[in-house]
Amino acid sequence: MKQCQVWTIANQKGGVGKTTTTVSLAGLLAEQAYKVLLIDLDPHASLSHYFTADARVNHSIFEVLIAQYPQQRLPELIQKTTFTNIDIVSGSMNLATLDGQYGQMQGMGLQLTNGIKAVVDEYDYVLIDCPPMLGVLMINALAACQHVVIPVQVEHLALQGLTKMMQSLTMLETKLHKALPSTILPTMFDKRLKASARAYQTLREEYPKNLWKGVIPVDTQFREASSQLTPINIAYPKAKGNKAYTMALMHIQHQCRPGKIRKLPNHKNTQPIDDFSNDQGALHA
Amino acid sequence: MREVLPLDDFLDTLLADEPNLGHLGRVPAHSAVELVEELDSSPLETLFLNALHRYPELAEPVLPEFDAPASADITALAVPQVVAPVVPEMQEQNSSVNTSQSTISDTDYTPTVTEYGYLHERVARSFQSIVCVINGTQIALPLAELGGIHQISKIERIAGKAQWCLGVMDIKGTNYNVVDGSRWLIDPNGRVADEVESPYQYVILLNDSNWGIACHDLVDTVLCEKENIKWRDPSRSKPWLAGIIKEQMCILLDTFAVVDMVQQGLVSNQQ
Repeated sequence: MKQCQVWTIANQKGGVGKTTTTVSLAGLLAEQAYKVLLIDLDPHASLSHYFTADARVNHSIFEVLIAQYPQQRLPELIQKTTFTNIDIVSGSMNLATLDGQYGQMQGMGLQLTNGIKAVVDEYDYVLIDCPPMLGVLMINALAACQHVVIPVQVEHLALQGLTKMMQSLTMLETKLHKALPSTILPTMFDKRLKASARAYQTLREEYPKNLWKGVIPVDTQFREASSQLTPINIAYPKAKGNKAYTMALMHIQHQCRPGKIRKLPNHKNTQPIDDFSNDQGALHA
Repeated sequence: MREVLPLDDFLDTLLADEPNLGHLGRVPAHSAVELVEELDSSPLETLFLNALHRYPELAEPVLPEFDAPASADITALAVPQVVAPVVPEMQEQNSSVNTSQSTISDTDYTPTVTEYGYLHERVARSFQSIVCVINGTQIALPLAELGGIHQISKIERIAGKAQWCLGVMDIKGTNYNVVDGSRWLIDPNGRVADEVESPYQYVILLNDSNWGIACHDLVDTVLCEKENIKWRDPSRSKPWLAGIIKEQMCILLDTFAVVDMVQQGLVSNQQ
């Protein structure tokens, strides 16, 4: 029996790299021969389009969230992708109407938790891509997961959004009576900008326990990989962005399952670099 | 309008151990929307110019005065009914809806404050809207005021009803009147020939009413900042036209005003 890990990739601010993080982590986990299920909770369905999934509404995760028996419905909606070991349950635009239609219905926040129970024996990892707002969708995702990955763009305004996100997590931990461990992933780090350096320093000072000490650099090859609809570890395995996500993944895996990290193939320079101003190494663009 | 719960209560409700989801099972899979992969990609500038052409008052300065006119008789207003669907009767047999003829209804509609107030007053400082396409024009509707989005299935045409009312569609056991988005909103004078119109794909249910508007496509959801919308003074005319979203350059619809009007048998350019 597999020991499935459910990770939610969330931030209440948009444009911080949630979908890129989901795709990159999924690609790397699949490369490690783990079986990965992606769940796209974002009405924009970018993740679904990335994996060319069928994003029609009657094939999307919306059906699970409104189902009387979500455990029955979720397995029916799983789609294979063209990538080995990666399956997906797609998102769709009418997810955006969920808050209005069912947002105050008792127990609505546990629908995804119940749906995922049906597939935990089939997958090693379930990664949930969230929309950028605290509502029924994000609460479902946070209630269902064991670990929260919070991509944060390394710039001042994004840090304000992070404060809200951490407050929401604290409140949810109380309500759910469970710990919600999280990893803050600094993304889009531009070493040329002093503002990036300052924001990173602020992150280190304010979130010493949750922060992954490396950074995901600005890397045009993310965009290139995206245009090819391919995870960066497959499209550009030598890209500095891929190396950064590889290290980030090791860190998260270490947090979740100490001592159970598989050795990663073909990646050198996997030691986290604590000093962001150090120009050596892939993590520091 | 829906009650807004404090976050603490909101979480308590959503995460209740004993769910009360009894009616969810009644949602049939086939009622969901089917998205079209290839979205309409008309240049926004064209749509904006198109919108200005159709609604030149958008180019005029906006007067954000939302006090009801002194002469308004609130009690005389028709308030949207949320229970029984009422399809307006045609007063005369006429194959086209022509605004020069008040054939649909002779009710004098006074576009002023209803019990719901104006959209400008109802929405939060930032709010989400869904953008749909009706006959090539992008229309935005506030998400919080939608009753759902459904793929158009069988619509029962009812004889003798206005042409802009496509008929009645059964959704989850409830009958909804479906407004022909093109005939009601975009082309109320009936200038567009039927043969050039493509079939509708979706019906967007308007707030808690039994009315929905048919559209050709869904484009996106957008986060609207109140300050980035060119608001109209709805007391002037066309109360359904709340304003225009500057960034997307698309029309923002007041769903309550639309329901108010269709219940009185009025098309978009009547008052």
